[in-house]
Amino acid sequence: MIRLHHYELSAECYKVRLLLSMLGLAHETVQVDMYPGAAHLSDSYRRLSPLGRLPVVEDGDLVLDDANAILVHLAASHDPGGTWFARAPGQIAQWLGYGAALAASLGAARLMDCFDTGMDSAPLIARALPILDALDRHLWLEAAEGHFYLCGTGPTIADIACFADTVLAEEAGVALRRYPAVRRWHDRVRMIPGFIVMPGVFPR
Amino acid sequence: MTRAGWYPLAGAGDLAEGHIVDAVLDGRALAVWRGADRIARAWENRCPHRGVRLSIGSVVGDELVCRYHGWRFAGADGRCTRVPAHPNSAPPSGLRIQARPVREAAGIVWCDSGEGSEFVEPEPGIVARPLMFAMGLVALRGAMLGALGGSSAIGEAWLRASLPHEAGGWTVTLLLRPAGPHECWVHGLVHAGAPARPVAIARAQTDWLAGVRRLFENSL
Amino acid sequence: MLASCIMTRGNDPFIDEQNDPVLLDQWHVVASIAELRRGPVRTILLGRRLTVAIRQDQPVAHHADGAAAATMLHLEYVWVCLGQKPARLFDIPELAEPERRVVHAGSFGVRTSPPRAIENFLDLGHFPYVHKDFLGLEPHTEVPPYRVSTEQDGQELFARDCRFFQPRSAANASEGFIVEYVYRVPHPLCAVLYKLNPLDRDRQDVIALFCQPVGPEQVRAHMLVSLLDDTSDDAELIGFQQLIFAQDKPILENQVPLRLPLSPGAEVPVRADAMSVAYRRYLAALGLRHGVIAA
Repeated sequence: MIRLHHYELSAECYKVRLLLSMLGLAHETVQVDMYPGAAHLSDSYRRLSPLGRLPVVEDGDLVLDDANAILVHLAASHDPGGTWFARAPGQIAQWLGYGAALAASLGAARLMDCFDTGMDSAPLIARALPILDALDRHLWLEAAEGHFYLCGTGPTIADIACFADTVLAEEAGVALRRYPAVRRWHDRVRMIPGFIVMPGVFPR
Repeated sequence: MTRAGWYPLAGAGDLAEGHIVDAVLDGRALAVWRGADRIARAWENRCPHRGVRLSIGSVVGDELVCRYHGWRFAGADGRCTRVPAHPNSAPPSGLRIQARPVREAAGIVWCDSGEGSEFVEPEPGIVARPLMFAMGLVALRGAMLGALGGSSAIGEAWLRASLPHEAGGWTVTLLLRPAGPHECWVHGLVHAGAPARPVAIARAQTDWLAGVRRLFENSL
Repeated sequence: MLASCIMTRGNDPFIDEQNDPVLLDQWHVVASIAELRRGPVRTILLGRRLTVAIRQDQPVAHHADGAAAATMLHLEYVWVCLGQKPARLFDIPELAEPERRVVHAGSFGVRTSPPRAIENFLDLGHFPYVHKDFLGLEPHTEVPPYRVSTEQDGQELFARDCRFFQPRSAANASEGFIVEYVYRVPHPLCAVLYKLNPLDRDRQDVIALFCQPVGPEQVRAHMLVSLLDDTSDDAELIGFQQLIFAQDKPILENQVPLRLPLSPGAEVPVRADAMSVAYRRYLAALGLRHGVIAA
């Protein structure tokens, strides 16, 4: 059985929980007290992830500690329909990269504020805004052609990779009304069968 | 305050049924939404109970539901129809959300920032992607008239301009919406005579306008 | 003095919210002992930058210019007073009971006023919406009448006989049942919740929220959980409490205005809001100016 090590308030972990739910994959979860316990930096956790990264998925002998890698693995190995990744791997990989850049900027800024670290998140926000704008442009133009997801007419792991941090953007102090096409796409992701929430994300 | 009049809030196609757009018009926060009856509405973006923004709520049928306590408000008149904490009691009487006048024309949802302003229909065109500028309306209008060669003003909030030749050369009507002292939205209609894919025209327009925005940001 | 971030508001333009005497002459939580064990904490209280640490088992707090601030250790936290020390600081005697686990569930930054955060903590009606499937579930939305009282010469506010159906009231709850609550406000920016334990229904779990006023629209919220639960591990207890709090966070950050209006006509309460109405009156009676819009 797939085992997910996760922390409830982490957007990276939410990405994996979303895909597991949308694919309807049975799995067990292990809660990691990342904050305030810093359990992800413990010796026992580092045996799974030497860098102390969250989430970790164990699937048989395979251990992965990167959200994008886990999304690709689950879509490639556990999606019989082959719609979540195989349809447009190059295009999807590009948006996985955008998702990682959002996690490193917007997502990191959110956690800084949320855990009240006292650090200045403004430089991270400055890096996130052009990415949000590029996402808004792409989504608006795609929607104008009747493509309601990042890569065409159906959801892929690209949507999941970019959804988690952008839907939580206001927790990082970024007003989402600046990106109306992103807000509209958030509504569409909420309609995907198997959609689940994390704290800070509202259901449909 | 900008002069009272009709301003664009969103593309009609971008306001899907069940969706709520979070928009600001002249300092007034609005929840712009479309219920199952397909009617576009612009409401004060604040639940009277505890002040929560209605734009984070949800649309159920023709009603808007507040995210905090599930209070429901009827699209028809803005009245509160349900307070779930007291399911067997009538909601507080006289409680209703302020609605602004809204109309749909030329593929755009418009809102009157005053009362009974005259509506002037723009020349029809391909609806462009709205873009936010970090400048007030007057400053932005002035900057655009100065920077965009051959542009001209149509009243106080519209401009006529042309995309550069290499971007298609189409004529565009830019429709400005004042949001705050340092925030103005630019909606637009592209007048493309030649048959081209509408999305290709919209792409050329938004990339041109984004370039104009970068120019203004860099010169600030 | 060291006042930075000067903001004025309310009817009297000469009252500076960050120098509100009601809060200056009061103890405030600034860090948990658990957090300080890992090292000093830099934080902000009423606009003043502080460095807090524990040295030889004694709490110390310093302003940016090196001046010391008054500190005390209490209830697993370091408390700081910037003005005149008040005659008393409330206690939660239940925490000393045997077999109890007392866990610090984290300190969270929230973009709201401290009184809005407390008012939300005292609210029952939002459970089926904000905490759907945990603390509430439609159609069980009704808030039955409860009793509100002030005690301790008006210094403490209580809501008793609160009842609400909860599908999953705690980390160790396996089925839904009607939970009985007592809410206590012993300090203008602290609230304590006593809640029937899901397994041993004669005893109470205790959950406390201590709001550190960083500024009139910025809170550092400290959560303390004391449970009679020997089945869940700490990560599960902390995880559950954080989940609930993080569900409230986006609501708090979307309230307009962020400051709590004390004027009775500013927002529209219903019977279920009796505690909110009483809390607003209690703050008005204290003369609080920080993070509120005065009546």
